[in-house]
Amino acid sequence: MKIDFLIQAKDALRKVAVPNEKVQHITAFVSEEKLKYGLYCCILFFLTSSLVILFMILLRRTILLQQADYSKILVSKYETLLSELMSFFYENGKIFQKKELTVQLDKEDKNSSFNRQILLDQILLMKKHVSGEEAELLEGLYQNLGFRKRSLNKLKSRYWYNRLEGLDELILMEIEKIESVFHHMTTDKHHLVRSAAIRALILRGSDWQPALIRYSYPLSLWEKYQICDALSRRQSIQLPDFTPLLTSINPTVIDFGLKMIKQFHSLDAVPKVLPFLKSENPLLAQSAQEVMDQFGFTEEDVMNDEVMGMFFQMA
Amino acid sequence: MAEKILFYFIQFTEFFIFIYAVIIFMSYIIQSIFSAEGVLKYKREMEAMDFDGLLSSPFTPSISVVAPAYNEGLNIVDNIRSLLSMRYSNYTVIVVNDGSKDDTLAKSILAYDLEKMDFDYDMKLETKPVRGVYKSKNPAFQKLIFVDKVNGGKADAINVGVNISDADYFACIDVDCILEADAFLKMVKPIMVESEKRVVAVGGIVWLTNDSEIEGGKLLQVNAPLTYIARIQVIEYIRAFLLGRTAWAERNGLLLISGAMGLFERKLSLEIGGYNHKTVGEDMELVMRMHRVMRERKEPYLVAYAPEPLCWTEGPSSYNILGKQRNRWTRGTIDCLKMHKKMFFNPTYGIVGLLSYPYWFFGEWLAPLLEFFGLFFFTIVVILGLVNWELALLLMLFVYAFAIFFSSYALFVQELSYFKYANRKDVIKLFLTILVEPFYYHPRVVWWAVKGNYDYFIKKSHGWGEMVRTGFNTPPKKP
Repeated sequence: MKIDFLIQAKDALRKVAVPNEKVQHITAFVSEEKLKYGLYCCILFFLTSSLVILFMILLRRTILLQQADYSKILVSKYETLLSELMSFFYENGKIFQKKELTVQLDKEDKNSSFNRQILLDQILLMKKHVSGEEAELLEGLYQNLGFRKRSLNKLKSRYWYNRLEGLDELILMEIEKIESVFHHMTTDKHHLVRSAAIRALILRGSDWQPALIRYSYPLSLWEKYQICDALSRRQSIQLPDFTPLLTSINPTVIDFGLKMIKQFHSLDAVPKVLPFLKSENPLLAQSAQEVMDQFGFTEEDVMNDEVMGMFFQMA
Repeated sequence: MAEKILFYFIQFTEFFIFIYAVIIFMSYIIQSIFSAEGVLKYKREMEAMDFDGLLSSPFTPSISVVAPAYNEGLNIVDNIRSLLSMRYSNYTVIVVNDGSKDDTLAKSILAYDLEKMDFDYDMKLETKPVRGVYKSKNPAFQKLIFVDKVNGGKADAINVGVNISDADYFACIDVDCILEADAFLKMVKPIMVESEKRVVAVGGIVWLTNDSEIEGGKLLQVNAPLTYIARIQVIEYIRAFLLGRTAWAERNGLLLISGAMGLFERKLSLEIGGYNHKTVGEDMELVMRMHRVMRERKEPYLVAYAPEPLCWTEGPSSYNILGKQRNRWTRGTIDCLKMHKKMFFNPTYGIVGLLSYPYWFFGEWLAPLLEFFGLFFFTIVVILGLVNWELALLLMLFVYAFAIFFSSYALFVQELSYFKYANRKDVIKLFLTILVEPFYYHPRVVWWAVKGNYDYFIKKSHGWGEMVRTGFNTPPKKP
């Protein structure tokens, strides 16, 4: 009885639900054949791609392991080569010239970018730990092996990480006569490249402030940290004058200048800090106040012309 | 009349589900592209940045790590040790014991030589009473502040921590999580590099430790979990954290920062009233409120994301507990969407109103309900004998193939970024896990979500439920 009822209900529903010519199925927009064909293609694509992805993951691991092993061999080979060159330098008092060098290197060392990168990494690594004649020898090698040109070419890359890599190589090799390159890179689009360039100028003892004053991008905390870190690492013991930074039209540069005056306790700079106490920019006013607090000036002192006048005379 | 209604119902449902599915698939594909872009960009920048100097820099933002603890006696000592050994100079650890019924307080006092002290702080956020603030007598633990308070829930406990903190940012951490030693150095990266926008929150990837090797609160070796339930959660986490959230963060549309690990600007959090303790989705609600307030103020801001596994936690190891967790997540999502319905397709809220919120509405909340309804609808059309079986099977196979592809792609992106599974067998295990997910696991997820909706709308349930932990130091089971 129940079954009969269900069958009747189903037939009734079917009757109302399937006036075939009326129901607009998805297939009304695209023929069923085409839809099926499309679905078959997609299914095949997704399943094959999934398998390819698994294969790629496993293959990538194998390649990375092989590369790691090969690079170990190359590192050992280039370490030996570099120490031989060092010995040659001490025995003969001159470095290998380009022609002599090329004899030392096999075809793969010259042509494979992987091999060349390992060799360059070794030169750069060694350069970090040596100075004087040995450092000059490595610089000579860097130039003679064509790495300098390679680094300069990297600076023209459209990818920021290549530009940064090139810049880092040049910084580490302390190549002369490329100040202009560093100055140019301080206007780079990417903040990491810009901060590396400013850092390079500071560490080389170049005039870095004009570049920072002209800075058109807002300084991030990272850039501020980089510059501050470079200032504390530079070899000069003379305290830099941060007041020129206060003339910049970039408020973040002014803020950085104020922070540095506070950080390096530049008491002489206080007179130039005072105008910023009344700055419309709350960030600058706060930074200026922090400088004044650092030197123990109260708000009343700052408002008192007599106290400040005496201080200026003493300063 | 009935004929017409049935006719239009079938026609509308068929088209609606088809269009809905197409949009969801498209959104997944777009997410895949954006996430790969975001992960690679992040990885390249991290490789180019040296964070060691940050440890002594005056420019590093200060952080208070707020770790609420409720009945965490099993792991509390190791977990606090892990938090105290972070590579970051400018930080304090505030552990808030939220009226635990076990020995969380006693164990901590004993292990860290804590003594009760007078501690001045402003009660800017209203919370349940604080019973005492403890500091260690041992100078080695001077970064630690231990707060004992009356039970008030996770949100209330974090608010106490935010009141006590005086840092620029506070990190909300689940005390049972293990953090990477340099997690904070990496999490402040978006704050450090952003120069034009105010970074109000930063999220990070949370990963699962089930069956991995852990010793003394440190993660030694990451293994693929031995049980299916834990392995499938690994896949889910990879998809959600690495693909979904990275993609949304790329366009400043991230609505959820995991409660297990997030960094929030303290000033803004205080201005907007801290965590909302009336919802179980307090982590998502805070981020949504931050978006809402900043968009209304028309102030440039960023909710950033560090697509790198920085926090490790234990995933539920039984379907019962997992079901409760998912039920809670569903109720939390509904709560948040309800509280901020003003943003729905509202252009005032930019990408958040026009894309993120609708995605959460249609893609996260509505998806399991529609799937459930779809099964019901399918049953009707089967009874009516209206099914074009060949086409139906093809469509099902298409969905299955796409699911496999999307999960495999997620596995590939994690491999390209910070692959943690050193063993090849682990990768194969994870891949095989993906293959059975649509039949074995996904229906459960749908069911839990439907139950969550039922509990929310019909039973009016808004509580948390308890999670039993086995402890990180439990040795992995032998296969």
